[in-house]
Amino acid sequence: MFTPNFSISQSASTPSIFTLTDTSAGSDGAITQRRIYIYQSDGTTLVPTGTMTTYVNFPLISGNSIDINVLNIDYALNIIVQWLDVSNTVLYSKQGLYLFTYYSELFYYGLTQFQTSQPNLIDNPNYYGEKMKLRVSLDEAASSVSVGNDITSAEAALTRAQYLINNTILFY
Amino acid sequence: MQTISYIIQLAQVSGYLADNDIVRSEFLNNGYLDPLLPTKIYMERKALEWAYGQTVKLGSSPDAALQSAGNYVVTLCGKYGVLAQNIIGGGTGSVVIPASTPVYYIPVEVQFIVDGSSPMPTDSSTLVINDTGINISSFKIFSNTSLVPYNVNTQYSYTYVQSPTYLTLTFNIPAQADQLISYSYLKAI
Repeated sequence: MFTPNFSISQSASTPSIFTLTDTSAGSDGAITQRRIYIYQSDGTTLVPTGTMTTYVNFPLISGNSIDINVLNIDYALNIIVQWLDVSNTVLYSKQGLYLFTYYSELFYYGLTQFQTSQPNLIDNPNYYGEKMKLRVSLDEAASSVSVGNDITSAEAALTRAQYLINNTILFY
Repeated sequence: MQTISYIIQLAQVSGYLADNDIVRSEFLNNGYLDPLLPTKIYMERKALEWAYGQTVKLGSSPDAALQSAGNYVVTLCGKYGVLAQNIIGGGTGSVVIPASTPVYYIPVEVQFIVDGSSPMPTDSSTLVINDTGINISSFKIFSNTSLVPYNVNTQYSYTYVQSPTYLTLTFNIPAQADQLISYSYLKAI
C-alpha cells in the first residue's frame, strides 16, 4: 500500500529555493521515478534554469528531499508530484497549492523596521493606508490559497502587492 | 527585555482589548480613542510574526533590529499592552483562563417630554428607571439636549440610588411641562 504525499518549505537563508520533501507512506516496487510539475496561475510551468523538460526530475536515488531554485519573485504555485513506473506511466499523483511570499513579507517587515526610527509615520494616513493595502493583499493571497484553493485570486493579490512594492516611491 | 514570541502574544491580546475598548467607547460617544489602533497593532504584529518565523527557521536568535521592531510594537500597544500582560501572565507562560460568565453590554436610549403622564411627571423631582444591569458609569442624562451633571448644587443636577432592579434619580429642581428628557446607558446582559 502506497500513500503519496509531500511537503514544501521555502528556505529562509536562500529564499529563491524551496525544498520539496517526499513524505509518502508505504512502498510500491513498481515505482522507478518521480517528477515534479510546478504550475503558475497562467498554466505555464516553472523549472530551474537549464532544465530542458517541463518538469523537474526527482530521482529516487536522490533521497526524500530536493531543493528547487525557481522563486525569483513571490508566487502562488500549483505543485504536482508524480510517481511513475519504468514505462513512464503515472502510478500515483499528488498535488497542492502553495504560496510563497518571502519577498513581499520582507519588504513589509522593512517598513516596520523603518517605523522604529520614525514612530509617527504610522499616523500619516497616506503611508498607513498604502501599508494596509499591502497587508490586505498579502492576507488575501494567503486566504485565497488556504480557504479558496484559488490560484488565480492568490496570484492577483500577489500582483497587487508587487505593484505597491514597485511603486513605493509614489506612496511613501 | 521581553522576548519576541511574548511580544507577539502581547500584541494579539492588545489588539483584541483595543478593539473592545473602541466598541465600548462608541456606545458612550467618547470618540477619543484611535479607531484604527487595533488594525495598526495587527499590521505591525504580522510583520513581527513573519520576521520571527524566519529567525526560528534559521535557528538563530532575534537580532537587534528585530528586538527593536518588537519594542516598537509594545509601544504601539500602549496601555493595552499592560492589560494584556496581566491576562497573559507576565511572560511566565500561565494559561489564559476565560471569565466564566462573560459580560456583554447593549446600549439603551430613552427620550420623553415631561407632561402629566410621562415617566417623570410635571412638578416631580424623581425619575425611576426600572431595569437590571445598568452600568452607572455609562449613564448620561440630558435636559433639553444639555447634559445634566451629577450632584452640583449650583445648577440643575441629580443624585441617584441604584439597586439591582432599578435606578432612582432625584433632581434638585422639579420637572417642568414640555421639558425634553433623554438618557442613555449600557445594560449588562
